[in-house]
Amino acid sequence: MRVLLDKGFIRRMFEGFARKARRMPLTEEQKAVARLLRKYYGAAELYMSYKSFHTLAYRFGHLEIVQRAFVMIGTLYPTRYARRWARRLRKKFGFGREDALMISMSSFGADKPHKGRLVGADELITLDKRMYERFQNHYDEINFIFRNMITTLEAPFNSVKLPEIEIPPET
Amino acid sequence: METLQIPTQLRENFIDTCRQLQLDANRVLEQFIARFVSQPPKQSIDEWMQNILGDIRLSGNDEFVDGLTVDEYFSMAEEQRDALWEKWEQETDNAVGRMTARKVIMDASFAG
Repeated sequence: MRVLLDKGFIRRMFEGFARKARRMPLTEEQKAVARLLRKYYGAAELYMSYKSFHTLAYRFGHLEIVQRAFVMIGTLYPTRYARRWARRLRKKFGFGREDALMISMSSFGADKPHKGRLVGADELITLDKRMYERFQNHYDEINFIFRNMITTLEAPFNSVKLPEIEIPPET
Repeated sequence: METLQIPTQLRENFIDTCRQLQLDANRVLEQFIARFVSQPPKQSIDEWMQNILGDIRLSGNDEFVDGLTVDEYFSMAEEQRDALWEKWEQETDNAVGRMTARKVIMDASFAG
């Protein structure tokens, strides 16, 4: 099983571990994020987007916490079909640019920027309720258009699937 | 081998309850212990996070980000931290936003 963690989740996770390392109490949201992370830790391959990776590495790469996070969590990069699918999600369903890219990378993500494997993700975890609700409300139509699109693609892109989107219960 | 001590009142209540339910008290106790051993209580979320961190510690004066110490960063209002992250994410977008993975290996494995 593969799980993609969105940027809000990654930030709260990182801040939670930093507060823990500083011996500060966690916020309720940070606790909810940690509980969900524990649910999947060791049971699933965890991924963040290449943008989250870049922000953490560039701003916080000197911290041991971040170096440890990079061992725990892999990185997904969008393939060309991720770009195409993200455009459709934006235009047809009104998703924001970042949200559309996260959903599309869940189906068309690769684990390296060059000669990587197409891995995708079974679940996308977000703290963004609007994105979650928009996806649920339009799921049937999204799925219909997605199915029609992938049947026109060559292997392995014609075997991908939509993710399920999960949101921590307390957020 | 260590001898288990069970308070007398608790022991008698347990035996009485088993008798009322027509259960073998020794057998029920054995099942309780077996279940406990196979599914020990989960760690608290604090303990789990501490295990992940191991010996990593941060002090308040450690450099955290952009010239801010750990304590300076966490003493900022949430809105100020939001603004910082939005700025960093915009810079990330400018730097790598258009990156697209090339030459994806075809004998790939898929989600699910």
